[in-house]
Amino acid sequence: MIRLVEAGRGDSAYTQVFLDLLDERHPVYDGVGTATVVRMRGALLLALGHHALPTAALPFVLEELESPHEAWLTAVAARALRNHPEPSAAFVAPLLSALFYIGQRDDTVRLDSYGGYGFEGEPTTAVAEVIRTIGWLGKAGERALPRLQQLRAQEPGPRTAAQLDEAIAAIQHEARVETPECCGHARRFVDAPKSAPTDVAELVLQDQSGELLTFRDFFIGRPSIVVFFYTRCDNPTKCPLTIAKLGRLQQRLHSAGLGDSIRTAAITYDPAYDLPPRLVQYGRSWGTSTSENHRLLRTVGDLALLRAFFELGVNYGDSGLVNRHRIEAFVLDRAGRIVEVATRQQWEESQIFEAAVALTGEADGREAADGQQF
Amino acid sequence: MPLEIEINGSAAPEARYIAYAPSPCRIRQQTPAAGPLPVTLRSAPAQAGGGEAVFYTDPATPSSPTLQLTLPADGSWMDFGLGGKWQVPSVDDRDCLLIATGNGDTLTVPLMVRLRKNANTLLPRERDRFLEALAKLNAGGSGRYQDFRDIHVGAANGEEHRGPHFLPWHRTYLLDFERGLQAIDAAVSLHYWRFDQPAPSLFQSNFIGATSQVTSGDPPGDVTFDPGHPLSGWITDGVPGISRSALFDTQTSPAPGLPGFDLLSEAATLALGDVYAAFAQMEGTPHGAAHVSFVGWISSIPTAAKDPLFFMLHSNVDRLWALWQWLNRRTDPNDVKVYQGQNRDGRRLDDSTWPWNGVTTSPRPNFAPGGPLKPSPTTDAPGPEPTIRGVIDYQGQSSAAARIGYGYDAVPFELS
Amino acid sequence: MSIKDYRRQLEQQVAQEGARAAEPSGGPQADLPGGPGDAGQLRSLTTHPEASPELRAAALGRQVRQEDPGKAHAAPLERLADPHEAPSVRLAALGLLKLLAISSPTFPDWRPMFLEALRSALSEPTLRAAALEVLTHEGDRSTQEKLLAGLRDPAQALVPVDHALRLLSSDPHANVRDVARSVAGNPPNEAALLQALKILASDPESVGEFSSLLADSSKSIAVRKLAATALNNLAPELLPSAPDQRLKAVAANESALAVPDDESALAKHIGTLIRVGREPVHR
Repeated sequence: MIRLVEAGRGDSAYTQVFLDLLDERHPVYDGVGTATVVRMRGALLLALGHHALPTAALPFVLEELESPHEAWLTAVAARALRNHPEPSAAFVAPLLSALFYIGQRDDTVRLDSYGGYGFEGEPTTAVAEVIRTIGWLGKAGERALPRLQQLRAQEPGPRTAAQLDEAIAAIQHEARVETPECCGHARRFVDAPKSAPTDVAELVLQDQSGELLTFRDFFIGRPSIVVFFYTRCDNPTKCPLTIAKLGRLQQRLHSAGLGDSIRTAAITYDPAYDLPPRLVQYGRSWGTSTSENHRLLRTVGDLALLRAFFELGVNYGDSGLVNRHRIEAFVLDRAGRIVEVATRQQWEESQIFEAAVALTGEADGREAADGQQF
Repeated sequence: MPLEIEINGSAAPEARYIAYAPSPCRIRQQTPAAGPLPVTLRSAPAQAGGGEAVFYTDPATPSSPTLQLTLPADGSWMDFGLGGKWQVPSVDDRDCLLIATGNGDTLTVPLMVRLRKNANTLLPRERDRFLEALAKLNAGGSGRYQDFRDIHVGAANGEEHRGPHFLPWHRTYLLDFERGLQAIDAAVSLHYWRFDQPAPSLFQSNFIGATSQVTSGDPPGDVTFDPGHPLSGWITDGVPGISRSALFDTQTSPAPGLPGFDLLSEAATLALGDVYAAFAQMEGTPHGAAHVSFVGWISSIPTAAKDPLFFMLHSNVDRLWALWQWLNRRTDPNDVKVYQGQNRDGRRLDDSTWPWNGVTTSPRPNFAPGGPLKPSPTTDAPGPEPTIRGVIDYQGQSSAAARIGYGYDAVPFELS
Repeated sequence: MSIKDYRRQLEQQVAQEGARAAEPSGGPQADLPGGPGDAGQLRSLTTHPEASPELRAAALGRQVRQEDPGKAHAAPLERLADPHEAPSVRLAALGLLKLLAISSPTFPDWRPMFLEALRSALSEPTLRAAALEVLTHEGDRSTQEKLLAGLRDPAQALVPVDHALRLLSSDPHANVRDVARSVAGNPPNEAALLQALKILASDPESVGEFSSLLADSSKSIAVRKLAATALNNLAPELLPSAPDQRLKAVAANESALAVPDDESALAKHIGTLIRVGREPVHR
């Protein structure tokens, strides 16, 4: 990886190679530890952002800022973003998210050293890089000002205070420019909805109460919203937040009288460990409710089938523990076909809600009664 | 006997738990009778060593051991207050009796004077009950204890530490934890580790674990438990055991703190000052000093809540605050000497507290584990989404409605 | 004691403490300036070349106690990061920084420098255990990788096997399971075996191993109890819910048969796990 990155750094001919390597499903991540994954992804992002950061790399960069957990990756992402051709107001929210979360886990990194380790090279920190990038936004970062000023007023300590002062000055003193709206949205429609093949439809699942059911039993007959998670996820902006958002979606569905028309499911990436009692506790902790139409699930059959059907962005290290995953949410129609996907960046509850609700009136051109099987 | 008594607004047995602060009670003749009925109310222990209660009639009148009332013939209720008698708490569930006598008949209602006590002096059966509830809360790593672990993590540090909100936030956290224990066993309280005194009974294999002594450059060991001890199956984050060693002899010494940064005694803590801004310095010592008197999980914020001793440490921190409040008569939240906040979310007097408020928008973390504050059958306060104001007058000294339903054996309730 | 007397007693104690606050205490701190105006003296004492390490460590503690909480970290951070400082003073500084990490309002600002200083302290043997503990509690990946390297190649080991495993056990993503399996298969000592088993207690692929260990009476009771705890965590249905008659008798304190203490302890442990160590299944 080091040699590849050194060879291709800043060379646009390597862009697609690096982007392909950032896909969590790439075999390069099979069986390796989380620390190794972090180093590799950081090196790839740095290489992509060495000169002009390509737009195709933005979702990967913004993901590291929105859902930060490793100071090295956050610092790299912030640095790489400064090489995007244009600042954009759309970068503000991810950067502020990074500032909040990595602010409690900040660390010294050396961007010239693989993985950021060691004592050689120019030290920086994740927070410093993030604040610097907010300053780089200039007038496009105006929406960040209130939060920066609020943080400054809290007397955060001399280093952070100085960095904030610089960023605030940079934003305030730049002439107003219009910046193009941009950037990787999480959500995309699926042009050709994919049906579950027979082996997926017959896949056996188990819910949080221990009840066994098939994919067909739950996902065919009504539209559904599906998210993925695992209870050993240590990034509070990924799985805990995903489950919390699912809980809020459930409340919204119930308030709209759709709690029985649209099903929701959270499926674990870690079925061997996430037994029913753990599913119960996790849902309870993070705010989902469970019922006939709203369940936490694990596969009893082969998870590989689900991985293939949903094209899950997850990989596993030693002993089958997740070493990396992206945020992902899906909307399935009554036939169990994937019609909408939201990946990598944080998805908006309202968008998933609307996409699912739009399916409740569809049934091959006629009104479908709830529970009708296809 | 045709009398009815309600304690804490209910006739249900699960409401029959009181602390020192007067719980609202009422009594009446069940069916309209021929005439008014004089009754005498008194309290007695159900057995030797049991709890006793005292009676209050109004906020201005000191308590009395008995109460004479004349109950109207039409069955109207008559109110009174019932609080634990100073230094006579219960040791068992329902070991305190409320006895109403009138017209030759007697109605007896068993209840409990339930208080947080010095863990070092608990009776074995009190200790065992507490441990059993604690173990069930953990449930081998798959119980609700995980919520309390998830709440006390790095991303939420700003909501919990390093500011004036430290004390009220942890008071709320402990209340939620205690109510979680009481949902398993209503007779249990979150007893405290009095860290400025030796606690040899606490650091035993039959209690919070035999804890080896090491020096500050040594790694920690695991605590050890007796066979069959409820905590012997303790698991957090998927890993069995509890990692803790002490930098002092737990059998003979109090927690020391660090050279030059000693752990303050109770009196020294109270002497920090009689206004909140001065007293709140106790976050450093004795609070922080108690944490770093160990090596192992309890010595760092990211891992402290994995060790159940953490909750007993904080119970003592809260007790010190409660004691300071009583000593200095600091219960009116509107007084800046009682609480002096900061102009920052989660730190102003009327701010609701994360995570119980469910607020997940900036500048709060975007997750809020555990849901709203657990309810109690003994009080409606502080409500499912408590504010800082709502936990300051925890005994309802300034406002009876503020009573949140717990107390300490060594912190009196005293009418001003 | 009446409430009135209790109040009087506490008020007297508080008054005494208030008067005592400015006086130096005994021991190495007897020579320390103690008043609020002595910050400058304390500062120079912490680096005074002729003061004993013990006195300098105590002075550092006193200085930290008196400084503005937002700035109190500066002096101990300097001492910890100084490779020429006496190890005992650096260790005292580390302890103070642990305390400040809990209470300092500016901790997020100086956390990077703290971790950097801890990493540099790893090269000093007397600081290593304390530095490793904080680094692993804070989730430092480079430290995890150093510990793993030491487990794979003893020439690179910073600490003994059991210690390294204990440190790595705090993070499920520390990539330690394969190494833990290897140690469990060929442990250098019982302590290492127990730490390896603790890590494997969350590894679903180790269920068979734990079942075997539980049933193996040649294993120590500590190992067998840990195996039971692990099975309760991973596959509770495999835990013997109906221990054989001998164990039942022991659990009931009957004297039906003489049962070894280990079996008695194991039966009690399993009984406890079943009683308290499981959450009921919910819809």
